[in-house]
Amino acid sequence: MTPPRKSHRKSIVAPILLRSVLRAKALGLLACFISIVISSGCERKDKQAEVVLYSSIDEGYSRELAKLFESRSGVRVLLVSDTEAAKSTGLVNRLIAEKARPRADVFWSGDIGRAAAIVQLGLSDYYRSPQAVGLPLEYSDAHGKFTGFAARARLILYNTRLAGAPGTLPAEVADLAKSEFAARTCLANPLFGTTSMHAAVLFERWGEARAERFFRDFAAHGGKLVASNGEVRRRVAAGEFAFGLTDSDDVSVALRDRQPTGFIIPDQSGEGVLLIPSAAVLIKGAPHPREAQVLLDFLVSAEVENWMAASEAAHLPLRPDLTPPPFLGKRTAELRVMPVDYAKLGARMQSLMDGFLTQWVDEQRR
Amino acid sequence: MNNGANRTVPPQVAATGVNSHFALLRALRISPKSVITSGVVLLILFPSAMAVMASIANGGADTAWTGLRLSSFTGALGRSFLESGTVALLSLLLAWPCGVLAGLQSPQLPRVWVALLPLPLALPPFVWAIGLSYLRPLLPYARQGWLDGFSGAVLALTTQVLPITLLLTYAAVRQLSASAVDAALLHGGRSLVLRMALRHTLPTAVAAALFGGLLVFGDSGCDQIMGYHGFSSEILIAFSARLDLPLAAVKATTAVLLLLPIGILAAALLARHLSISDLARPATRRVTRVILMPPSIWWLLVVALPSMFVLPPFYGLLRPLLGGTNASQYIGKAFAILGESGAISLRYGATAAVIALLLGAILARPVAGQRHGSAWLLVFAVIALTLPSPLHSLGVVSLGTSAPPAWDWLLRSEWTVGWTFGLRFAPLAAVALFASWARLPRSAHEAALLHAVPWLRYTFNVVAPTIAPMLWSVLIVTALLALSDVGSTMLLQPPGGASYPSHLFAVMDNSSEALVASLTLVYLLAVGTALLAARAVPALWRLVARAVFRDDIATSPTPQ
Repeated sequence: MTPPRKSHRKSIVAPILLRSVLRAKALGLLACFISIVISSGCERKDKQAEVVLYSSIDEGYSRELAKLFESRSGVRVLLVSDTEAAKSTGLVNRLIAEKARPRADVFWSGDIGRAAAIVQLGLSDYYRSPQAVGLPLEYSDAHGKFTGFAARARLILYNTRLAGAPGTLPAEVADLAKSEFAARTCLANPLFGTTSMHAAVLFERWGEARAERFFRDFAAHGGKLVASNGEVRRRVAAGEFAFGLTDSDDVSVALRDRQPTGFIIPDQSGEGVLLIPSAAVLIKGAPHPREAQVLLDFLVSAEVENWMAASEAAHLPLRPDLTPPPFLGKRTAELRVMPVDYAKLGARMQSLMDGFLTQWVDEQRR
Repeated sequence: MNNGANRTVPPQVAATGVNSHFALLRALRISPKSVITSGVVLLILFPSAMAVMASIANGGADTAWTGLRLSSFTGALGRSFLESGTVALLSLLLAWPCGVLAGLQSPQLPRVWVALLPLPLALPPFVWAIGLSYLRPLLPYARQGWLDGFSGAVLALTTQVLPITLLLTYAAVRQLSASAVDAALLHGGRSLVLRMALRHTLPTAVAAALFGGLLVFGDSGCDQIMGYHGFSSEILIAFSARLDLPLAAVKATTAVLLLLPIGILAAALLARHLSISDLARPATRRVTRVILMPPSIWWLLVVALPSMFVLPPFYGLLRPLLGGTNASQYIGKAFAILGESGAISLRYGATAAVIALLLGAILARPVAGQRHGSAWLLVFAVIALTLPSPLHSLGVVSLGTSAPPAWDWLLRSEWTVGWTFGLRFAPLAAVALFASWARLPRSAHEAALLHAVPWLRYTFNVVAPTIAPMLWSVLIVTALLALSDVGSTMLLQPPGGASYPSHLFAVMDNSSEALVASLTLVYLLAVGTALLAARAVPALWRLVARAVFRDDIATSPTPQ
């Protein structure tokens, strides 16, 4: 009677033990996975002060500056980054959607035109930073709704293998629509980013007739539209085009990557080069107003302008006494700069979007 | 005298509690399932509807209608339709036979290949477009147009739709039962097996290609890079250039209305084929391996041909890194970013996938095997997927803004990205799942009912193993699609909660090409490793099922 019981016990106990181990292992693994996912989703509950920065400046730079600010102030920066490239819905739409209960404290726009749009939409609050001393007033809102600082310049990038001898290069933006250059030139889509602002400036400065003629001639002579300023840089560096109108930071990237490129600061004997300052805006109803002001003070300081000039961001300091980006070799004060009323550009850009530019881009894309 | 109310609402309705609600539904001849399904449908459409309603409430709709230049818009819509149609057709023609061949005759190595198949979905289409654009200078000047405009956009978008179609076709083949394959082999040889498998998978392949085409219909980045002005560019202009949400909403609604007849037609044609069960018995055993052709030709057709769409742009993306001197520095930077954002990315993708799967299953289960229900589901999926992703996301942002702070844990937290994408991709999951579910033999269900098998055990032991390949494919595809939609992630992510693709997106325009290449390479390596590691999950599933249910089976009383 006993032996069969023994064998029966063996056959039952072993599988039960095995099942228990298997069950424990399987459920343990499952529990581990779920706890990892959940714990990474838990809100941080520590008491450290924080500030929310929405930034359309390239993340590589804004993140480094945010870390620098954190180390100085002890305030943690929660960053939301965008790119000015015309591939996203954009942070401005998020700001508009969050208007009733904002999450952002500060918006750092890479393009002063967007800052002006934010002001028009009633999303910005008054703040004139004491650290803005030395910044020229024409780059900031007269009512203290945004502060312009570190700028990019609109430059002509050329491919050194294709462009030709130095005396034959275009000297002005207007030259790019001429038949000898246009067929070898690309331009970023003027509905987006800094090119949209440049287009608005051309309409303001030249008047509608001349500006429209520039765009029509550019297209008629074989000029091509590409997606963004980054794309202009890529295509000119790759040799698809000899010339392209783009931003100084793109030019800096091309030179740093040792691509066969050079640049021209346009209109130095004429109306001057267009500067596009970045701008900091205090958001109306910001959840952390005190920290936002501290961050804004930091952003518009001479230290950040210096940092932006010396780093890969290669922005031009607007303070006349600061050192320019190494690739440019000229201080802002030494450049002939196009005078622009940036506050007026918002309305002009809107009318162009509703009219000529959309139609013109449509014609090019068909 | 009985009045109408008494006739339709019986006395038991007067009872309180949950039962009374069910009784009311029964009395009104509405099944609780229908209520739940309708609720899920409304939930999925709610964010986009919220965005549209918000723009109407702001009085923007009137001006938006005047801002909509219909001739230009319909032209753009036509171009997008042509583009998406070409992408879908190209993907179908390549992926359908390749998927069948991969599923029927799979040697050891392609298991790795199958695991890595969804890898191209990890990157947003515009990154592939950039990779292709880097290759232009390598072509003679007269041929550079091949990688630009319409042809360039089609090639770049095919890198996204081809893997979806291939993976779902492969999953559909793996659902064939060994007995069906054996029977076909005995009756008509290998050619009959091939024909049977092709016929069996065609509806799934067509649906996958069609819905893949719809997914890329609203993708603006790729069109922008390639200079192709389609519907997505129109939406982008409204959103990004004009900051005009009402105009974007009007354009999206017009697109849905114009596409609806085509969607209904496609749904009617597909529903019949997707809702039939052609298996005699459960396909719990793996499909027999059938040698259809010499391995060299098999490799050429199944591995080399689809890879041709992915490897060239991948090479284009890596070129700046290959010739650079600071490669190790850039790769180190990319790994640092991966360390910061890896867990966040995993959470976003996993949450989106699980929610899409759950909601997809809720939508798919009641209509599986029903022709009319399937057709409605397909029409709904067409509508939901045609609506642009940013509209859906902005609807959630508006909802989070207008809701009281007590709801922030749901509407403005680190979970918001995941569930928003879960809602977005639930229709895609539903279509894939109902096609798979419909192929589950009715006999299995009836047998379970007859023997009073608990539904949970039936689901774990019968349904899940049968549709496991499709479940797994849906999880992977939705997770990767959620991660690669960086434009919408940027709208939804909490401050400080950027995913890895968002980092890539935020640096790609103004940074060194070598950094972009490093970020891309590291990301693909990480996702590839995760996909290979994820192959262990089905084994874990089996382990769980065995551990949880075998005890019940072993200890359950023997039927008398």
